[in-house]
Amino acid sequence: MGEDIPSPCDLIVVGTGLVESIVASAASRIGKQVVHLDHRDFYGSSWATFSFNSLKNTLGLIDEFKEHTTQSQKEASDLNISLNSKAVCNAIEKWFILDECKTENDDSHQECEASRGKTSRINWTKSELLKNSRKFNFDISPKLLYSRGEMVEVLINSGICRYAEFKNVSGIYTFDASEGCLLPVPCSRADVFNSKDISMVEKRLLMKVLAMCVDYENKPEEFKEYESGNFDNFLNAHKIQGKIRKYLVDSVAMANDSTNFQDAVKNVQKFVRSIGRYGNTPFLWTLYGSGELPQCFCRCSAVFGGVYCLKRNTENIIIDSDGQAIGIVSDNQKLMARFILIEDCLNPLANIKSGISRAILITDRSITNNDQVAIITVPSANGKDPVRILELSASTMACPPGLYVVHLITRQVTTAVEDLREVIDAVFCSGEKEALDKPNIIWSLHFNINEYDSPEGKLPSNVYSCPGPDLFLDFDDHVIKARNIFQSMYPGEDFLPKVPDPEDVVLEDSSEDIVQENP
Amino acid sequence: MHGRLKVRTTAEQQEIKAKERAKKLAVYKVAMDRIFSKRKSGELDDEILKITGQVLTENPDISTLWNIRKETIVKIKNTFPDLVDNYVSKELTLTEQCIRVNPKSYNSWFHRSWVLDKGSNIDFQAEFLLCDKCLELDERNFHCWDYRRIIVQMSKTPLENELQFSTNKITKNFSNYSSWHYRSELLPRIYPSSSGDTLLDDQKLAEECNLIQNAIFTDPNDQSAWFYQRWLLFTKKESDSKENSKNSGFLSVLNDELESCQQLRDLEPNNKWVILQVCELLRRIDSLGNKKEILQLVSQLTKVDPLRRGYYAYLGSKIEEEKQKKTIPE
Amino acid sequence: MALLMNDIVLPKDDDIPDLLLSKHAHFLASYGNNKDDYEFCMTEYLRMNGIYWSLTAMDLMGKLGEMDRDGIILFIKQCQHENGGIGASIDHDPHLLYTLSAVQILCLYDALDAIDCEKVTKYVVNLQNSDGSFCGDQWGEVDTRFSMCAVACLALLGKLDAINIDDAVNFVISCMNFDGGFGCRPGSESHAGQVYCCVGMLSITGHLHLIKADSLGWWLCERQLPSGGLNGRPEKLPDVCYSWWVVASLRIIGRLNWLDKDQLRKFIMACQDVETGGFSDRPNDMPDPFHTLFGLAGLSLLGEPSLKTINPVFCMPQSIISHLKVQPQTLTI
Repeated sequence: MGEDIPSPCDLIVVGTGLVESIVASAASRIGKQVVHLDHRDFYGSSWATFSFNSLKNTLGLIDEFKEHTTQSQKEASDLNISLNSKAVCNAIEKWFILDECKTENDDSHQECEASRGKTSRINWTKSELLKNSRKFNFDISPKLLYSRGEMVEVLINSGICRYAEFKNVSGIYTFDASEGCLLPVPCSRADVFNSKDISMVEKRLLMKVLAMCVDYENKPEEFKEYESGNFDNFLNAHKIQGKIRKYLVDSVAMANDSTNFQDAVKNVQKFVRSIGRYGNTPFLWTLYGSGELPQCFCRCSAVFGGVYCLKRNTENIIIDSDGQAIGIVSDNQKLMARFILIEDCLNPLANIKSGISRAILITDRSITNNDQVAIITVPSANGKDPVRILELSASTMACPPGLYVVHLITRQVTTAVEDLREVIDAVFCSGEKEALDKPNIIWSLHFNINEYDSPEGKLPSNVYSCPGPDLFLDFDDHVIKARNIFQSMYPGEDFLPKVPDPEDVVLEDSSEDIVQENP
Repeated sequence: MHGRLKVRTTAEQQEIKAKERAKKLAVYKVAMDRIFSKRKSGELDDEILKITGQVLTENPDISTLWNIRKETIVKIKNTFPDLVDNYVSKELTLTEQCIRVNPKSYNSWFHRSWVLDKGSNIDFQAEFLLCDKCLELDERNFHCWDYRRIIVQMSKTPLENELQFSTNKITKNFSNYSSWHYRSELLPRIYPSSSGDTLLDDQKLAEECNLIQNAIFTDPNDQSAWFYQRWLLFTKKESDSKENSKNSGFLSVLNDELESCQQLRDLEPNNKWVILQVCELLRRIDSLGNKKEILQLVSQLTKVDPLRRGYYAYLGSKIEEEKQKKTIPE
Repeated sequence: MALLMNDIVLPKDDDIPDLLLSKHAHFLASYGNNKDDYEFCMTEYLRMNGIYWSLTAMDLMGKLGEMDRDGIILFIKQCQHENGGIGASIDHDPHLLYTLSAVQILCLYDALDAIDCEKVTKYVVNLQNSDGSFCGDQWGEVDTRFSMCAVACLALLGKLDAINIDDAVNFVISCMNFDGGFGCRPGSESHAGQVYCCVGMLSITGHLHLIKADSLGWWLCERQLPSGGLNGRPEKLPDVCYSWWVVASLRIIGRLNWLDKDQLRKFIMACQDVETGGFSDRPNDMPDPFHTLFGLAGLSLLGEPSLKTINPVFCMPQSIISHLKVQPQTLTI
């Protein structure tokens, strides 16, 4: 295996998470020789999507991962790679159904049959689910794409979009704790017009605020007094209360009490501008899971000459006497390169700064009215981070028909189980007795994802630490970070430029212009 | 072989275009010569259908060619009536093609409706589907709306169905003047008023008023809603030219609308549509009693919408003239 | 959720040219010189209209003499069919649209005797249906445009009473919509072009009192957009040809001052093509004789001193209409 890897090369990338994969593809695209390694046996790192069995295996593996120590090749100045990083940790799994269905006697079988119409939880047993392992696609870090966001633009321009398929998110909701129910968030003008949940005056206020935000850059005078404050102030000043405030804060601006005005407005703009491009809501979901995207970028990199190796360890980064990195030691082999990227969980100088609490559930019915993909925001009671729920139906290829996969995401405060308990209890039924009006949980997995900080200036200037997944619902910040890293390495170069129109391509060898007509 | 990007210069592009056009023109001239020559000889046959079809697909506005096709169909109907349906379906295919190329050609749409009349087994579902597709591409295509009205009549589709259609359209996009226009034609026919004062049945009127208010509050800059609301509230049946009958019922409707409009005005103080509507409501409720306020609003309108100051000056002068409560025409 | 404001941005005042009369004359006079020009050949199906547009525009500028009078009259003769109707070009079928244009051209040239006017009258009369509407030709398309073509044609020939005027008027009135405007047929959406035809028709037949002048006038003046240009119906882009349809209609119903004339004039001026001459539908598009006529006609209605006065009903120089002793009705507030 080792003989195939070119050395020296232009760029070594350690880890196949999203940010580093984007940079790898951008570098390959401009003709740089990229070597892309991952010690794992799958692509995507903390962004990957797994089938049922491989999810269980992977999480199991990480717990048992042994620390590698480097031997003879390590110099005192070299940097150890933290191979035993546990970016994804504290995994706790729970089953809510039986191993086998009791079908010994006719009575209980008939009971089974009779109940089939009521809930589908009864249709499934643990072994049946695992038999269908491949029909499940579980994301570690599920994220959406804004239809007019950075990720979509990059995918279209570079042509990488043809490696994946996408579905429109069909419903956006916020959860009204006081009433205990879902409120559909109106996205388009038509939604607002048709809504029976808000009054006429509220409709006007909502539209007005949205229009103001979209028009922000054109009318700076109107916003002078709010610019330096937070979004809350702005909403109060414009008398935005009640349901429309919830819509705006929870789902459109994705803000909380402390979100500043500028950030909130940017989100509102993105939201509004993305509506209608591919569907009624601003968001797209990647079919087969978000883990497809790092793979797409890796594929693009490979097409342009990138060399890929999974199950390839990286022990340390070799530093020269000037403090610059000159290569890595990988599986005891020296690989030289001009630049090195490592995913931040492998960065020995990074510290865990915060965490994400996650849960994945398999349920038997939709929370909403059978949306294909639904986002539900459950605002927190005390103005802190909300819990975001992403419900995926079988049509997204997340699970077999009849089931739903639900992802919950929030900021880590204690543990995932504690952080998400309240919301899960409010929305789902996890009891022995099945509910008829709530989705029943069949299986759940809780875990945390660590977020790292990369201290400035500590790494050599030609080594970049690529951030892992964050709390945000979408990919745009990561695309921006990838672009920044790329532009720092290769200033002035095009970042995943547009693919040329075939009609404009003239074959070099032809002696005649392709334009001339045959006589 | 490697491809290199070539940026075509405008001169080069123009040359390509000129050559293409010269070619097209030559083909066109040959075709037209042949068509007219055959016509003069009375050869209304498959060949003339073929050639006129080719020309019309590129250029559907040449009405003479459509006429030739009509003559041919008539000839077939007279000589081989059994074959007519076959030819009718070919006309439907051709007109559909032409409509795709140019959805605004009077000739293509007319020819299609003319042809429908000649066939014996018209698939109206297909016709409605064509209309739906066309309207999805351009909701304001009046050719398509008119064609829809023709097939509604031909197929004897109940008007209630069409009202539902227009409701669906409004639900998807309330900023569609053509949809509201259609409603204005359908509603008085389906829900005529029992009293002499209004155009619509009371309950239906209340529902429509509510519907249009949703539009106005969602987007007070959408003109179609305002034109429509004006019609809903201010149209009197022709027969009643006497003084406003003391229909307190309707007066209360107007007062409710006024209240709602004033609420909107608080939120949108500089929106000319809102101000104008408040003005018109005040006039009809009590033009004498409200005169001062109305004139103030008129003056505000002139500031906010200076393009139409001529109109507002006229309004102002009319209001000055209204010395007593009398029926306001229009 | 963006506001649906369909309009263009007008160039700055300094960039808007003055009236480029000689350039327009050159544009029109040389249009059609190249008989192999693609656009020219492909528009053969409306040649008669095209000639009318060019000649009227030239006459407004006082340059009718630069056109080929004899050639055109000969051409028209060759376009009249047995049944009296006139086609767009040689071998093209007769139609009311081209019959009107031909009559208008011959009025400009004071050469109505070049065709058989009695046959024209018969042709028009035969196209009237029992409900008062007019078909465009023998094939049966009904449209209020044809009502206008019919009465305008006959009025110019002095034979208006040959048709059933009451029925014709009733049909046009049946096309009146909720907004006071008019469409192609009963039930059709209001459109400024159709409004012009219906208002013109009612003017010629002296029935303007049947119009809801205030409502219609308001609908018409709302065609004016911030750029100063006019559109044909709500939410559409401005187009210089509506400087005619809308303005003429307002003039006929006596409400021309409901428009901002200065802004409109600026818009029309901005539609001139400074290189080739001629007007286009909106600034920076390709010019053509159609928009050139209506740009100039619109300016004339707005009182442009360097142009002849145009008659708002017939879209022909007022001098010709007066000479024919035709006096269509207009309203005043």
